[in-house]
Amino acid sequence: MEEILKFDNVSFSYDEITEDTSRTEYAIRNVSLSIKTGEYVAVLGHNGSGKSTFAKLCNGILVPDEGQVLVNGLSTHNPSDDETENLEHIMKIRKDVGMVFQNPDNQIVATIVEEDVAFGPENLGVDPLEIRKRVDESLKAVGMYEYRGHEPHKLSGGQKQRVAIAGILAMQPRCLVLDESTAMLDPRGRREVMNTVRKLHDDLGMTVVFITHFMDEAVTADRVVVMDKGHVIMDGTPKEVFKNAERLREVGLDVPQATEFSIELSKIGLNVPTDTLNTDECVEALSALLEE
Amino acid sequence: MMKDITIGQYFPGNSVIHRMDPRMKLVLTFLYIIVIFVCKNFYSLGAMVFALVLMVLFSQIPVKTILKSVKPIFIIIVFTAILNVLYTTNGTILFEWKFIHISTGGIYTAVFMVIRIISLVVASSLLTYTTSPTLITDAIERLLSPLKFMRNSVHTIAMMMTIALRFIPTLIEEFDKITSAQKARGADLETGTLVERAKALIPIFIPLFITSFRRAYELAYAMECRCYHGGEGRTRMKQMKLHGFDVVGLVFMVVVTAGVVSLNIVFPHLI
Amino acid sequence: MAILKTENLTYCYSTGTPFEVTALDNANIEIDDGELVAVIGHTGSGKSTLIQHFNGLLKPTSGKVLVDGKDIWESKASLREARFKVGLCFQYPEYQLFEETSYKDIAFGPKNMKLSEEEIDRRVRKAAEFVGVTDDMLERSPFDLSGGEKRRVAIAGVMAMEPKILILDEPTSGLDPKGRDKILGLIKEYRQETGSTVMIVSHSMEDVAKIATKVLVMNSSKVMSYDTVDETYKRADEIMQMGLDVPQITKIFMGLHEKGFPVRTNIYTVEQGIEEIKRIRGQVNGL
Repeated sequence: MEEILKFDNVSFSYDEITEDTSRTEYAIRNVSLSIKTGEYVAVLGHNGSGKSTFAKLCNGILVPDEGQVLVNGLSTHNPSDDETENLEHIMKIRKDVGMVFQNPDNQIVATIVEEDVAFGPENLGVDPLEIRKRVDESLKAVGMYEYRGHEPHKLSGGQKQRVAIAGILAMQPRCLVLDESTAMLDPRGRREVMNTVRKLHDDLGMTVVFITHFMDEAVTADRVVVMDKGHVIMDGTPKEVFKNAERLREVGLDVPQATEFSIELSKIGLNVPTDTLNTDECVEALSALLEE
Repeated sequence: MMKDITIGQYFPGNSVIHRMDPRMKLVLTFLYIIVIFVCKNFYSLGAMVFALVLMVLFSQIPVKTILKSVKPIFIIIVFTAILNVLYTTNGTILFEWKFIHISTGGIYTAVFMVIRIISLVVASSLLTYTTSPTLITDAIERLLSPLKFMRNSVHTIAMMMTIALRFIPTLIEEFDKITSAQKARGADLETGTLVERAKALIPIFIPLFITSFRRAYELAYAMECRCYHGGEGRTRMKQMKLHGFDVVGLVFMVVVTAGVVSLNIVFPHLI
Repeated sequence: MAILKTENLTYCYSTGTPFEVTALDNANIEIDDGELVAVIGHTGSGKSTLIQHFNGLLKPTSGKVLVDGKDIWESKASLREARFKVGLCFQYPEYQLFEETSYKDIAFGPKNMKLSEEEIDRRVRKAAEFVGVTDDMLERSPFDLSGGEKRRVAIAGVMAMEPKILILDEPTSGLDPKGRDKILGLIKEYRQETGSTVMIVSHSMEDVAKIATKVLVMNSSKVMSYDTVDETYKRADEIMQMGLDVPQITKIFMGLHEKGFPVRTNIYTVEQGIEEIKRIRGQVNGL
């Protein structure tokens, strides 16, 4: 499959990099990773693990100090000294990799929902009739169409984030990056956003990079990448990753309770698989055990 | 509570007035405000009120909502009325006590002024009720865009206005929240001298400023991620096009203006 | 005697207008001294409205709030007393920091209480030490600290007022698992050490199960129940219907119960789960 996003030995530091690299504090260090079209990847890490820097490197808000980030084959570095050329280049990248942030209030620009969703395509110079079509489609895709005339500040947190997602969809990106977009929401809002993103992936085949510190949100991904101290320390399917409960706890992360429970049960000698991820799997395994 | 205030007061709808070109609405509202000051007597003012009532009916905005827009300036209205009653002394004297003289002329002038202010407020809120703030700023931007040399700054100012309108309710909510939090820590905002009270606001305004800066920073990121790069090469979803009813509106306003001018000439006196 | 009591407490927004909303409907609660109460309910359930009555930030539309048996709205003095007896720490408290140094910020509350310089100093240092804010951090600007550190400074600011009842609104929101566990640990320790009554507002049954002694459930402006954690979990299905999350482990045992296994359903920690599985296996094997 095609690679939409590729990190090629990327390092990044917020400090000035000196000759003596051993003293530089890197936010991201030697990260190589590629994300294929249609994948659903969860990036896990505690605060300060480098996962937010990772997000900002994806669409050229930050550019690597070493190595390069390729979006659809294009490096996020400026291609030339010419300002107009650079602008066109970076817009191409940002159109392809859409980003949704943490605070729902700080990414909505307009005073009416549909006008906000139109903001991206307007910046891209899309034809007005086409914008109208995209806005309606995007709002329908996130289930906010009936709110198109509303004022954003009167919506709930989950609804605001769905509007923000619609605003990105209207740019018709190839990849959706969510940078801790559920961190400030209540459980209901988190469910709304998770279900919306899931639907976009399943129905429209959207490539999703979901950055979070909530385990339960990573469980449903195709692939989980765990970051710590700027490095990628695990990369695999949820089952492969969550088996390492000890290691995850060491880097300040949880494991799903279902997984923890199975691991603990197997420790006392019971015959249960240790890679159960959700309630249903665990109930199945335990029923089998109890019926023996 | 402060967060009950609606800024911009847009009232979504699909009436003829809603669908009119915002530029036309802006120009007509402007014209209306000028003409209302041209009115010299109750006849011409009556014509203006009639025109306004007609527009309100067409807009399908509930009368109650319209009247609500007058509420905040109630004090100003009362004040104007009293001043005019007291300071106009022509006509028949109706009441006299010490330095207070109330005359028919005074009452007429007061009524005239009050109607004038109310019409003014209702006309401008009709604009904000039927046009979203973004469209109003857009319309201003487009009306001023023939001034090529300042096109870029016009876009910037319009964008700033849109963002300000978007964030006012958010900041008011934030203000309420921080106030409660500092009160919970024993901050006393209600008593003391003026200086003390002003000082007591520091614990509220510093956090408010800091959050606002953070918001501005994050918003700038978010806008860049959505490919914002100034007004150059930008299109708009909502096209501003003149429709038949825009022309009707313009003709209507011209007729009303002509009517007002002739009524002013025919009836030289207030009443 | 109950340290905190409400009698038919009702609160309405925009009273006298057509937009009147009842945010709190006839709440009657009695909280004993020394409890660690978790208040759960989803956004808009009335839980924030409820806690803002406890220190008199909101005035009841009708009904009474009694702190230490005294009506807080009786006089100006009693209101002031309540404000200091009941310490309220809002959600995202780090956004309320404003002083030049963390020390001064923590001292803001005690200063407003008009305490002596020495007493203020003692309280600031004690609260700072408790939440793990070092002397070096005290002298620095709170804005230079990390997110988790800022939050701890902000919480210390309320703890330094040494309230008899400490209320924290969503103290763990936005934190990662490590930060969350740290704050929850601190709260538990605080109660053990000071013996004060503590209330935490939360969306997460999983978090509160770890530390609470009692759970107050709010739903659509009403108090649904006030009971021990064990009793509350017996009604886990009702809680789920309110749109709240219960821990995965609880769901697992509810699932097993549905399948006909004779398991208890008020299981909320992994340890309890293991005990229960052992018990059941013993029974099954014994048959």
